[in-house]
Amino acid sequence: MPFACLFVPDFSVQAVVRVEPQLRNKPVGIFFGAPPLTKVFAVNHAARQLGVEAGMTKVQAEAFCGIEWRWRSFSEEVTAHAALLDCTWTISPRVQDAEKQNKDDLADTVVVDLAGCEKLFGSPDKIATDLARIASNVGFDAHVAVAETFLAAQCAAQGFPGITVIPGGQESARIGALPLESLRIPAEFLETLKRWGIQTYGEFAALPELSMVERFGQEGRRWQQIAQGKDLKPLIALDFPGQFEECMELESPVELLEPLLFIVNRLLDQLCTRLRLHILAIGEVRVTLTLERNDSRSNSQSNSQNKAPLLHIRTVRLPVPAKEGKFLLKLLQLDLEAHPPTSPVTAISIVAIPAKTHSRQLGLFLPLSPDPERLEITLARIQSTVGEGRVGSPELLNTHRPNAFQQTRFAQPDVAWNINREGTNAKAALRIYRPPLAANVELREGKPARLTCEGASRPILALAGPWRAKGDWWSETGWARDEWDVEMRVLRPKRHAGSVETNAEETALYRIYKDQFAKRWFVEGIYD
Amino acid sequence: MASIAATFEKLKNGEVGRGMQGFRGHVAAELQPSGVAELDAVLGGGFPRGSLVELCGPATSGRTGLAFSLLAQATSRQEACAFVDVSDSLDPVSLAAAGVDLPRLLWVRCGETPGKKPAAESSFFDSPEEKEHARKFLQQADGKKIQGQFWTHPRDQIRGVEKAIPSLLRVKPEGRESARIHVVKKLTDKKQTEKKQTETKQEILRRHTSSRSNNLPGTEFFQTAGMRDRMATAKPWKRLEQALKTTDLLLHSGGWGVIVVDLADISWVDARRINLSVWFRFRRELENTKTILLLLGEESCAKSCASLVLRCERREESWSRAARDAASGASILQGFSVQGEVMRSRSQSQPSDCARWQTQTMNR
Repeated sequence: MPFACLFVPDFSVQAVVRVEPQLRNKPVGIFFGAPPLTKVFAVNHAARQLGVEAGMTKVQAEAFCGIEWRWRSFSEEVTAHAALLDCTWTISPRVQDAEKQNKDDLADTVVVDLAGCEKLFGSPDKIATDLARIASNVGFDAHVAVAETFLAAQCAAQGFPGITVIPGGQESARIGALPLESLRIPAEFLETLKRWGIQTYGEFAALPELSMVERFGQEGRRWQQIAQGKDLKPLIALDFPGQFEECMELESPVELLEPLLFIVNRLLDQLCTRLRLHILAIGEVRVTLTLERNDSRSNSQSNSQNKAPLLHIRTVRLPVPAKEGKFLLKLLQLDLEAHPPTSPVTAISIVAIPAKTHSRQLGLFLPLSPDPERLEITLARIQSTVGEGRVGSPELLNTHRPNAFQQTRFAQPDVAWNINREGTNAKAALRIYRPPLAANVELREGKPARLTCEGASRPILALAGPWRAKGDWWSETGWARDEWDVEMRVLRPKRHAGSVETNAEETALYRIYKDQFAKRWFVEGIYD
Repeated sequence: MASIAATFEKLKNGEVGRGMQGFRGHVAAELQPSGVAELDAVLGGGFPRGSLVELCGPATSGRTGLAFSLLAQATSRQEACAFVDVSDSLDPVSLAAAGVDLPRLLWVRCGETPGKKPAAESSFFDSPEEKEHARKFLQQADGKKIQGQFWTHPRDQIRGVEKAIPSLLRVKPEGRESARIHVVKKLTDKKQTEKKQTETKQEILRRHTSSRSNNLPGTEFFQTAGMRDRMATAKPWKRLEQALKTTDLLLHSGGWGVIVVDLADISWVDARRINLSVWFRFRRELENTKTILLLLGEESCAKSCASLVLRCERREESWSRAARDAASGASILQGFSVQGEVMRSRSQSQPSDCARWQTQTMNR
């Protein structure tokens, strides 16, 4: 039962470099701790070559030139760890974190069970190469090892750089040559073992077990079993996440939208890459911007309240799952332009809720319809032009109340071939005045005879009605009205070019109604 | 000279390449039936796809009904359609009654953007700056950068002054004043003769005590009467700008069957102030597509950019006899007949071709 292990050396550094690709080939160091106890938490290989080591004070470390310094970011480490798991989930769903050095740290080593994967992905060599390539795509420079046991694969990945494949039965021989430092034994054990003259895994594994327990206790025995490459417990697979998140904490607050979008673009690209590994698309994106607090005005009493972060959360739901970062970026840009944050932004978090990719059978005879992704951007742009709630498909409400409708999100329905429509008669449409025009109506024998509206008085030439309608009488929103269709001279006559004269002889058909509760007349619309 | 003569000789003999013949050849445009058989017969099958079509006519001329009929035809073919509603006057009930598949229709309601202060909210009230603002808005809608923000060429300043003068000299409409007088007159009439019933605003305010009426749509009048008056007199540049920008976006996105731009409630004098280059650009975007851009208006404003201009007129409305006589009893407006005249066409139909059809009102 072979196992593959993916190890990311200098995990804290690589978590930062992953979201800042420009640091990839530069010496980078990570600070951690509150001043004045700030120390170097981690450095990459290039910085180590310059002489910087973890544990140095900030003053000591800053004496070295040419090193990019960053602060440790837990949120970036969390997303980096999630990305690391994503890499291994592409091969098998049976994935587990390896042992951590500290409880608070995130595992930089992930082990995947390769049982049954050979038929799908090929030989262990090919799987190891694929894992290294996938990790590189996600932004990690990782070590990959494949071995017959869980711990052998873990030790090989942590001990050998690049890709290592250990054939079955050769574990102790290959791992035995590794120095003890790569086993991550606690410092006090390591010091004692070195005083005994033990330098490698092999020498440590060969020590008598009983003597080890007498001197180091059960912890020492556990470390020896690790060095021997024995599996202590079975692999417990992690659950697949329901959402994907990418975070970034900014060195200095960002006030403008444009630089913010550069960062959003980078995070979206990372998210899309991760989702692509699982052949998933993004169904919904939630952007959380942590805003800077203006503490200058706050007094001591309100300090406790101010500790809570000020968040600006925007959610974009997509009717069609999206795979392209550019498309999402445009949607988020339009949304953030319409709803900008009120303060400078100090941190960004993007959560993507995955959805299955949209698959559609294309055909020569499909009806004309806009491209779903372009349509979404177009709708967002139109909405930013005309305002929210003014773009969508009309939907009639299940009521007899006049003018009862709502606008729903426009989404192309699926093609239905059973609809056939041939040779229909034209209907007279009603053009609605919103709100209805208030009018004064003169009645003769109970019927409208003259209407005054918008400063114009018109005799009614012909009429039909009344059509009495009433509804919701059992509630406070009850309505009742008498509708009339009338013919009269137009209320808003057509203007002549270059003059104020109007064609006053034109007639038109209007719908007027009397509100029975308000006892008032209105012009509802005009037939056209 | 010899080569030119040889070319003419080849032309005469039909030996010149096929490209020339193809250029000369008439490429028949695909037609979309309008849903009105009489009109389709005149138009040779319907409206040409990939072109700009104008439906113009006065109020109650059947142009909106014809547009709905075209939308119903397009949506019944599962095509996505859009309705750019400049005046926010679309009635969804009429749409559904006309047979339009509502989920396939995108309705864009232009108007003042809520929460945003309009760029020129109050500057279009017949002020001297009116034309200047209009020019700026329409140039922006046209996608051009305004050259020199604080300086205009004298030629531009003079242009259109003859049209602006009447609006500058316009006397405040006597409508409101006359309305008040009219109401007073009617009140006195009421006192004198109890046969005539007149309901005035003052009476309504006095009698308006029911709590129910607070929820009625009519109560918006008290809050929005000022807005309505302002809307009636305000120039529609903001709405037009939104409509043109929306149309531009829709055309760019592509894949639409019919896009209707409803300028029917906009005065044709204002609609014609839209730069012709806007329509020209729209026509270019429509080329080689299957989209019909349908423009509703009082008069044709796209000029030669329109492939088909159809003028609608109401000929005769059909009332029930009881309604004609204004006698007591139920009566009904059954519909009206519409005459559509082809004003300009690039397809098979000829100008002055006419079609007459009957429209029906909705069954209540």
